[in-house]
Amino acid sequence: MSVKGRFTSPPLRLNLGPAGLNFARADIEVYGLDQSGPSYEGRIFLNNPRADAETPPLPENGYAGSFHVYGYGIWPGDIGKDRETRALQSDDIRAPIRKDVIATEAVRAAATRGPDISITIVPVYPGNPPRDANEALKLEGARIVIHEDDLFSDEDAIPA
Amino acid sequence: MPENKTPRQESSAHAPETGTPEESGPGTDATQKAGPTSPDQQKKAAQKYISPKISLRGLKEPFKRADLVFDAVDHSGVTFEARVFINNEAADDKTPKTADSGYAGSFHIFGHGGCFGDVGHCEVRGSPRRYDPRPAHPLTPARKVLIATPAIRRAMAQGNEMSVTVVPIVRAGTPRCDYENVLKFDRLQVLTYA
Amino acid sequence: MANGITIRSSIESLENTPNGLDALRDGYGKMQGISDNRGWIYWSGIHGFAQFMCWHHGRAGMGDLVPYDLFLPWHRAYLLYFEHTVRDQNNDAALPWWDWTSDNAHTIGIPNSFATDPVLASGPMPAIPPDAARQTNRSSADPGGLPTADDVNKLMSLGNFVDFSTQLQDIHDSVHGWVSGDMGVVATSAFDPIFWSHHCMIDRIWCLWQLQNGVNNIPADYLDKALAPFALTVQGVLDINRLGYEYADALVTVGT
Repeated sequence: MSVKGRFTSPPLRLNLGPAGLNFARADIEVYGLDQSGPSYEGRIFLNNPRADAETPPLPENGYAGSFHVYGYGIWPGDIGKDRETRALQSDDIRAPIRKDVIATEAVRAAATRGPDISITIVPVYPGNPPRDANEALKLEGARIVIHEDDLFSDEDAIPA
Repeated sequence: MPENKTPRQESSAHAPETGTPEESGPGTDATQKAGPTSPDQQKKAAQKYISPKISLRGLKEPFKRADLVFDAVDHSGVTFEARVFINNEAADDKTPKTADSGYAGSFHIFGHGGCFGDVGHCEVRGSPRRYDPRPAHPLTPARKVLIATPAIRRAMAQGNEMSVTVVPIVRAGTPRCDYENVLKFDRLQVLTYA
Repeated sequence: MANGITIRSSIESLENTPNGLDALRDGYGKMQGISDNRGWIYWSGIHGFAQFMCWHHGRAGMGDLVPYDLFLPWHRAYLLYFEHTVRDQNNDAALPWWDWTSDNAHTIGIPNSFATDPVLASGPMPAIPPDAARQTNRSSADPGGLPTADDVNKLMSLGNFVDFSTQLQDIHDSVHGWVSGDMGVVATSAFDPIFWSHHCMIDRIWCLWQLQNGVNNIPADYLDKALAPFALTVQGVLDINRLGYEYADALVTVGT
């Protein structure tokens, strides 16, 4: 799970439904996202595995949107310990989270060019990056969720 | 609470702002009212309370229960036992807790131990602000109910009026506490229930 | 505050009103000088260090299998208690909201008053080992990086509460990161006076969404969830009118 600096998924094959490319909404879900460290913006690029913090966040670069991590930063019990020894229980308030980025047009544009889409996530820090910046971006994975219609139901509404 | 609890008869006495404080122990020296208290000062006797005469004419048998109710009891300072005696104004901390000595029972105050905050920390707010969802101030004065049925019945047998004497026995405190003016309350009522 | 209703105005509106921020300054200043449970450090410490009672993102509570997200109702309760605590020091104080979508915000970033006034520009923090007690600091980014009115307008069309809350929370997270410094992380953010106005804006956006989508638009299984350590449940905080406050773009008081 540990990723330093940047995350890139393997190519994901989209399962489009009857609506095809005329889906109402597409979300990029980032799950198992660590929030115990510093705060940062996670910029998402599609089909641009070389994107980095200097890449302009523009559609032509595959920019799909951003999520933001509001990190915990300091935990009394962890003072003096390195991050790997922190025990995070499922109900720990620092437990990993999920972020949903609405990226309808970016996904549609990428899907128009081909069925396989890779997701690249680049962490960007305000000001000077913290000394543990290379270890801040930790996640289990990312996926694309297509909503055929815009009737977002409670079944879809799992808290991030 | 007993079933069908409807106060049917009531006599009341209001705690005078200046009661009839008497020392319940040995003679006293001038004491500090604020600031740290020495162990010697902590051993000083707390002032007792003696009520004015309370008319019992309004109380009529039969009743199943009779209470002495102390309203707005201060609990900001020491922890103490309040021994309540009827028709024994000379009672003190040595007086036996027996029917013969007029002992009616005790209530207890678990005191906060004095003020541990900054200026104003222990001031109880007045009426709650409208829409304020917060609980009342922790030092909101307490209501203590002493079930004193046998003692009040004995008092009624003795005559048409009675006095109530409350002797505070300090159990614990801190140097932030006033060990002398321990017992403060707004009102004393006698309630009976059929 | 007629009939006890507190009116929350924007910082910009109060900056343009003579003496508009006086009561808030006075209330905050007094709280910052109190060391007991009426004070700044105590109340700010509920959120992050050292009590960490804040609620962000979905998680399961004791005995629950399905996660739920009390981010919006928990912070609404927190602000309510905090505002009453400020009003204990100055009864005319009310939390102002920081509109980070405004043209002014996108020009100057932090509002002038919160950048220059000693009581509003920073707040006291306790010692957090190995650091000694100090005042908060910020390291704000370019004002153009703040959320836009368009970002917020897009949320209004999301009819499902969880979906709306998820997206609003991300905007919320971005502003914490934008201010950076102590506002940038959960542990220390609430010690910065701008925290309260940032969350006032978040609460206001929820209120505006409720006007369009219904006050009771929230999953039914959220309603009885307790908002510890406050004596409130989710049900109890859904309607701000019942909590005794409103949001206004401008407030002018005319005495009789």
